[in-house]
Amino acid sequence: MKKLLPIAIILMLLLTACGDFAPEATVEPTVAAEYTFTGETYPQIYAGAAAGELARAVTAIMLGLDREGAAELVSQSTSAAAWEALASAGGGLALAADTWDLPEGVDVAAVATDALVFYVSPDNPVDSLTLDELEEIFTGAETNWSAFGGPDAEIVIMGREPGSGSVEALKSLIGCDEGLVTDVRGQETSEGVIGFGFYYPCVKQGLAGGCKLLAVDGVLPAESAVASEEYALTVDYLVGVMSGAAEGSPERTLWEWMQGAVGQAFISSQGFLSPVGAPGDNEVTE
Amino acid sequence: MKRLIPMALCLALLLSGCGLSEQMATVREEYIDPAIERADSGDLDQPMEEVAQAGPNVSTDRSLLGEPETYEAVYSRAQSGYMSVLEEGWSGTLLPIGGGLATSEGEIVLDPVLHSAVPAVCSVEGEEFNLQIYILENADGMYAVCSAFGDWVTDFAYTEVIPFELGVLCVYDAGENLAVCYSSDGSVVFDTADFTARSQFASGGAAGLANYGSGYMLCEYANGQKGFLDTEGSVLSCGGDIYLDDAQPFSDGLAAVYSGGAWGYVNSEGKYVVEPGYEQAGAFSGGHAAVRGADGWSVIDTAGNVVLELGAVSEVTVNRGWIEADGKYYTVNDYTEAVFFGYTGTPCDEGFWVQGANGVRVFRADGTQVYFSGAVELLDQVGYLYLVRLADGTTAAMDEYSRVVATGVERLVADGLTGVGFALTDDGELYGSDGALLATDCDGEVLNMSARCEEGPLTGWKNSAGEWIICLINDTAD
Repeated sequence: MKKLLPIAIILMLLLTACGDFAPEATVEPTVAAEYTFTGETYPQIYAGAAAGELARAVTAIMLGLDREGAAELVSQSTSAAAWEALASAGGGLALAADTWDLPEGVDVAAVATDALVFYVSPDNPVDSLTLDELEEIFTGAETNWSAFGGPDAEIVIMGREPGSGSVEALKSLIGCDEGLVTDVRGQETSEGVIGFGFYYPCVKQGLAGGCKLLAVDGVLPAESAVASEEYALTVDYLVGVMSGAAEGSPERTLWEWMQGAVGQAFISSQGFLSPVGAPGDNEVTE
Repeated sequence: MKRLIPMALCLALLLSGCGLSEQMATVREEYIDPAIERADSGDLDQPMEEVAQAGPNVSTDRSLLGEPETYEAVYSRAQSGYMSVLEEGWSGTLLPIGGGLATSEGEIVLDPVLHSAVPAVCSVEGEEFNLQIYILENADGMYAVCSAFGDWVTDFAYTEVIPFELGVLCVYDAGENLAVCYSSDGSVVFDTADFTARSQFASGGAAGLANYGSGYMLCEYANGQKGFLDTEGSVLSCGGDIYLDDAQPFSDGLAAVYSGGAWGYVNSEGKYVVEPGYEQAGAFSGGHAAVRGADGWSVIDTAGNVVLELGAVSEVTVNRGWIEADGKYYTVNDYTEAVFFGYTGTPCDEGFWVQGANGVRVFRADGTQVYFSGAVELLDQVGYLYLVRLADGTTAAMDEYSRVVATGVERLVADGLTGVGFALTDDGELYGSDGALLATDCDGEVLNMSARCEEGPLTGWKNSAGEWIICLINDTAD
């Protein structure tokens, strides 16, 4: 065996210098023609702020930009405003939370799942609330934490802008006084504060920084609980194009890519949870 | 096993020469990495047909993608409970944040009960002074004052707060002319409740006491006459009169007083330095005052000497650095028209500036000059910094030695507690007068070398090392 080793090495070196002995390259499987976006062909993206990071990431890899450069190409607003912008422009692509009131004539599909979460001051001893208790708080029926085993402190709701995806989710999933939950205050650090928002921005991006997440009906909004729907308050991030967008058009192509396997894998890689329904289960709003 | 090693080595080297390494990279990028991502996300637990939809074959480039933005609030709390009242005795500088106050160590000491917290700045004879006091307003529109360093604080007991040379004049009952004055160290300079003359004040006249100079406050009586009071409430006799038909606050040591149908000027001893003889008289500024007599307008110095006769002009304004009469400017040095070596001067805080062939030259009121090479316009001056427009249309902050401190400067800002000047660039960078970068993403407010900044959803204060002292997250969008 020891004698064979130098022979084998010499043979190997000879072969490496002689391409004729190389095997034929594997024939690539036939695939559809590769679509390449450019700055000119890339569709206008209208993103809800909660899905803004995803919209920037998709834009970045489509155009070979960094996230900062991509941000200049993404129009970011509340989710409701993003859907309105798509409908009013009559073109482009919207990526925003489901608002339960989408404009007509839009093809939508879920591309990620998020959850409506609630957070309080770390000094607040309350750790969990039921759906009914949340409704009491956000309708203004109860205004003191003592009703829920907390301190004798006024409940201070950190409102979000009207049309926010989380406000729409709060309205649909729990029920609330819209005026109360859209009363936008400055940064609150007080003991009586309660905030609400989506899991990805609040937890993964840290936008509820310094606060404590609340369990709802005893279930903390961890990723596994959201993915399994054990945590009940899930909300889809939808991608939408106008129904009239032609097959092969930039916005339709991007819309389909985000639902496809590669697009879904990329969305997962960015820390977003896969939609609970099968990707591609799209629908047309009426 | 030992036999396999050389064979594997050979095979690897063979493959490396046959283009398969590139193929492997493609396979890894297109299939393995996404598969790992799917596995990480749990997608592979689903039946394959559910994730089989490939989607269109789109070219992607992740080389510049980087990591997603994440944020972290930076703060601590002095107490766990709600802090609706500001206690005394904090160390460092207090910084307004989110409707409350925090120390410069990043500790919140007052929860969001404030409508505003503004540093008190007063103007003394045309020059601004920082009192190092905060004027606090609550949601009910009531005011309190506190030391900018947390040494002392008052209750929200005041309807109006007026900064002036002695400190802050805090009105607690305008109808009764009740007001108290706090100095920067928190001591009470006076309380009008102790003034016997208060009963004669015009209603709401207490606020006028902030018209102060040379130890005396101007007060207006209910009968329309005026007079001067010191902080003990004693009345100044001006040429024997304590009730004056009209008067102006002291400045440059003199006060214009209307007596016997004419204006003159008295000093802080109540003696006439300029005997009444003018139909109109303005306050002194920079040692000069405008007066109108029988021969029209003229400018006098503090000894009453006429230094400039202007005649039949309609309006005259006297400033520390210049004199203006009906749109024509004069220097305060030699009282000639502001024309320098054939160039007409443009007034500025310090005097005049002119645009020469290669730069801008400032002719100061004290006779000195400053030259800014390459500049075509002087836009502003704060502290030791000058904001100029350069020949190419860009802006720059320069010091008085014509050294560029920063370029692309949006504006100059003053520290609200110390008055020190900084240059704020279009990109939000804040530079000191020595050219050192203080912080990025700044909005232009500076308090004792701490800069208020906004970075995405983060809002707070950075120290002179550019690090967050305290930052809160302001995310309300979605």
